[in-house]
Amino acid sequence: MSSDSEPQTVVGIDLGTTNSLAAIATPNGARVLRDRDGEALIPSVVCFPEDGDVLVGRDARARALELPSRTIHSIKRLVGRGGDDLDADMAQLPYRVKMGDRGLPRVRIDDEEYSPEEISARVLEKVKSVASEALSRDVTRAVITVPAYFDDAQRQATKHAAEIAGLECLRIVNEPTAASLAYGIDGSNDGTVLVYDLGGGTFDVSILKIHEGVFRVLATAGDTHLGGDDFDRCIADKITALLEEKADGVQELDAYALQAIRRSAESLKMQLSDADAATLAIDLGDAGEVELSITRDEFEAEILPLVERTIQCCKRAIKDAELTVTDIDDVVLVGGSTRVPLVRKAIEAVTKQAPRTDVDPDLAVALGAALQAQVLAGTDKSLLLLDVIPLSLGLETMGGVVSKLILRNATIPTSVTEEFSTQVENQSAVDINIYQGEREKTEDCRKLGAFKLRGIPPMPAGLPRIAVTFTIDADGVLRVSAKEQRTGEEAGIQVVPSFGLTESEVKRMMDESIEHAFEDMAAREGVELRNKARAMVDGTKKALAMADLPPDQTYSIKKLTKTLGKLLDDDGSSMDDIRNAVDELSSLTGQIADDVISSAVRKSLTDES
Amino acid sequence: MTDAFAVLGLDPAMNLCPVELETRYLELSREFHPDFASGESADTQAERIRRSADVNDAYRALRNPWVRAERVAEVLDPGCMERTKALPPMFLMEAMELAEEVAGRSDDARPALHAKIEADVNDYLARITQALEESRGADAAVLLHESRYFRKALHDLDDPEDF
Repeated sequence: MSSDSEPQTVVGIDLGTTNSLAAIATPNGARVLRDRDGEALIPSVVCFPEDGDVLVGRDARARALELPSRTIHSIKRLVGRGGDDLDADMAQLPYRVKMGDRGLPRVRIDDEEYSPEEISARVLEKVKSVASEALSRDVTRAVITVPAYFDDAQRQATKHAAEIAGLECLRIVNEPTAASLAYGIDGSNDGTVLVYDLGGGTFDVSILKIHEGVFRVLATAGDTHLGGDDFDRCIADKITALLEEKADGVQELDAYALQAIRRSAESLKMQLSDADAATLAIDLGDAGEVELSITRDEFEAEILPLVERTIQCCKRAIKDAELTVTDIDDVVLVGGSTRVPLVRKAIEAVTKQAPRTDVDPDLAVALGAALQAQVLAGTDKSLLLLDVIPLSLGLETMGGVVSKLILRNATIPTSVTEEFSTQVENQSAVDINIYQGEREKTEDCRKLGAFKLRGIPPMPAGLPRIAVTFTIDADGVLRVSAKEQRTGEEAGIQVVPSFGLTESEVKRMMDESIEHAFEDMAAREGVELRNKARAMVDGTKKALAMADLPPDQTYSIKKLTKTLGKLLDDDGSSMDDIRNAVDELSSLTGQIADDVISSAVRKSLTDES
Repeated sequence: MTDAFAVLGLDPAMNLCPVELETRYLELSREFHPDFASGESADTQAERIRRSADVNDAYRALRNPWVRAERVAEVLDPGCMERTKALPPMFLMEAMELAEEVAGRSDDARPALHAKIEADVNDYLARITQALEESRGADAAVLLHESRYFRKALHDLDDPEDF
């Protein structure tokens, strides 16, 4: 920063699924920024009226029933995602989402198409203008929060939205981490804290150690597709069922009815936070009118599986942090959905303690972001924030297996260098596929990108040595660089991002990782067995050429090697057949005293470990 | 591989004081973390990210006694980990039997098996530590390679569904 310029204002922004807001750090602590009416929460809603200006925030929300197909809410669930897994969501949305280029979702209003980033940018522009007005100066720089479990593409998309809104995003900070800053800044809460953050569309849990201004995340877990919206949907489904019962058949619902159902469900959910039962008469326009009575018990029975999923995440995070429940000193609840009594009960049961009540679940994230903004503005060096990468990062290796490079919960920034070479003479490019996730096979992980190394100097196969460095920066975003070791030149890299895999697939793979651990193991064993057997065939052939064995032994080994080779050439060969052939071959070579062969076999055995 | 001890400015040794390690780590984090470089040039920031990543990665490596042992062994005898990779077939046979025992164990047999393997793992760490203290890098490397099978067995026994 140049010394003659005044330190610029940097605000913290909580860009939420349901509401957004900004805050600023002051010498007396952080405070939220309010609009002229004294409101801090800005609904993350954008309305495109047929005539007139685009509305954002409360004005947009007010028009939602009147202009249901022109009013966009919960855009955060679409940001940085592929279109494939959004079908379930889109069926429930009053507005239209189409698949655009590269299968990415686009919001459609009349003949206009908007990317989720553009809609998010509208919300950010509104937050920016409220902040600028509250501070009486132009706000151009911000720290923006995202769910800790957001992946690379979602983080990138959020940065793009900021760019579109004319904001320089100095840092992406994880929401639970930001909340912990607000909670722990005064130093009176040093210790180990569990932050449970259940918002409108996303869930995170992070475990942090706070000590003398150092906020260190030990582990994080979450679900970028689980939040209050899903609680609403449980009630909405009941309304729809009631309607179908009344009409005696499936009803085609128009945008107005969908919007009315969504709003009614939300309202009933909120009533049930205080009351044991709630009733609402719902006018669905052309679809008629229904009245839904629902008790809290009924509601809780519906959302129980969702809440249970969050509890599983908490348990995993505690385990990943190498802690037990008794090590947790405090529990902090963040996000509007933590007002649901069942959520509080469940978290209390698993942590065996009452959550803190002195943290405002709606404001904590923005306040924490403002504190981090102050650090980045260069005016505060007392805070040190050490966050982690939420999902493991790996490369595709032989047979569609993911070899992990960086393990989940590694402190960021972090980097790993891997060496690559060529397979044919004068090969000038190498493809590298990068995956994020915990599963063993590429098809179960999210493909982050395909990177192509280009400009490799012409050399015989295997001779070039290209060192590729994968770095996760402080925003949790991947950077890749490459160097040819022999020439020392930076190899030109073309980065091809792919959003082919979707967030629900990430979620699915986390869920399934437990369920399918055994399948995974079997699949991995299959690949490993084949790789091992192939190495054995090659090794034995080489050893035979060098060894001087009696002809009968050479013949039997050759025969068995050939049999095994044939089995490997056939993709349909059973694992048992391959294993038997491997065993037979190794017992034969094992009997032979010649150490040339046994050392080759031994090598093939130890290379796998 | 970057020298984790050099990155953190510590002498290569098995018996690191955890408090000293953490203090050093936090000092260097404050020095290099990219949060304290906003407004600087892209090159400076990239350099800070690199340094900061080295510090994080070194700390993670040295906090784990097994990784720490590997690093000390490499300092004592460069290349020893790679050289000692091939283990005798007799040992591999035993290791395979252990893996089978873990995979086929009944729930009742689990606690006893756990205690047995845990004792083996602890014994390995003690022998590795001693070898390193006596500057026998290659010996420690062999033990490290062997211990991997026991550590994996213990992990598989505790957590069959986790990897």
